[in-house]
Amino acid sequence: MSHAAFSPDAADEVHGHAEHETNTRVPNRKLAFWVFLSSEAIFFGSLIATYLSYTGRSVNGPYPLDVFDIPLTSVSTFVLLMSSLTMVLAVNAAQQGNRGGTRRWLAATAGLGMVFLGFQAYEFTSFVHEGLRLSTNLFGSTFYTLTGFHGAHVAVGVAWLLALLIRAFRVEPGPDHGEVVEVAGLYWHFVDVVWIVIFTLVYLMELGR
Amino acid sequence: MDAKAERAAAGHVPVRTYVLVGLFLAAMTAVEVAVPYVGFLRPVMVPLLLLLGAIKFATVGAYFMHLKFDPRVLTWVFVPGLALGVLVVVAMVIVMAA
Repeated sequence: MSHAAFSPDAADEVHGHAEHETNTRVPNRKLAFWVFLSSEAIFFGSLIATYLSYTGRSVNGPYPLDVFDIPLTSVSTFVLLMSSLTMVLAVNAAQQGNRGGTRRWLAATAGLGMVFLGFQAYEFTSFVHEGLRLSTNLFGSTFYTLTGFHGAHVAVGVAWLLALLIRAFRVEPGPDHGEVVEVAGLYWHFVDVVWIVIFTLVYLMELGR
Repeated sequence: MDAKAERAAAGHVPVRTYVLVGLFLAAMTAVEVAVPYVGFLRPVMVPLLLLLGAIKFATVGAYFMHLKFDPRVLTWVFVPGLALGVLVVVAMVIVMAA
């Protein structure tokens, strides 16, 4: 069995990993984070299941098509998708030891994340103006719970990215810098992927009802 | 082995690939948004949207989350939770429909 034991191999040099010795050939931090993402998949799966279970069962309005603005949500979806691209470019820059590139792309990702949150805040407030609150009907309860939890995840992601950005300016990058940014990237891509599912099942499917 | 070949062997993905994947995902999103508005696609709208969503999900996972290039153990760690999440969705939809 070969080990990335006491001297960095090509993969470590390219990816900016600290020297590590694991029999999975994966840093423990990265492996543990994938376990966490697996649990998050179950979490969001249960929220989506609840939303879909109660679809079409609200006794009173407003109903989804009364409040949804699909063009606007499509724009916010595109924004989040592009933030995934800027995030992967940030990870790539970090792994190459490119400090300027890392800062630029982290800032871009955090910025796009904040734009997405702005869209969500606008959407929520306009829905409330149209009479849809958490306790109005089944649609309100399940919609706000699902998209609210997703929005909270995005907000945590933005805070994480801003912390990394501040760190990128103040601290000399260590040997595990690439891995640190990569783990943040995994979280951000997962949040994007959950929105892909929500946009399809909650918004677009409604157009066919 | 030269530097470029070494990086390829180590799972390094060129920036151009990431940009192309990003453009692909943007195009897929545009197609997804258009599907509900195209009359003749209405009968197959649901499976088509599910398929497009699954393709986007897999693309982000494979390229942006690097599963395609990382050791398989990461895929095996993530897939059970994902499968359980999907199972919960399917089961609840079936039970509530009944």
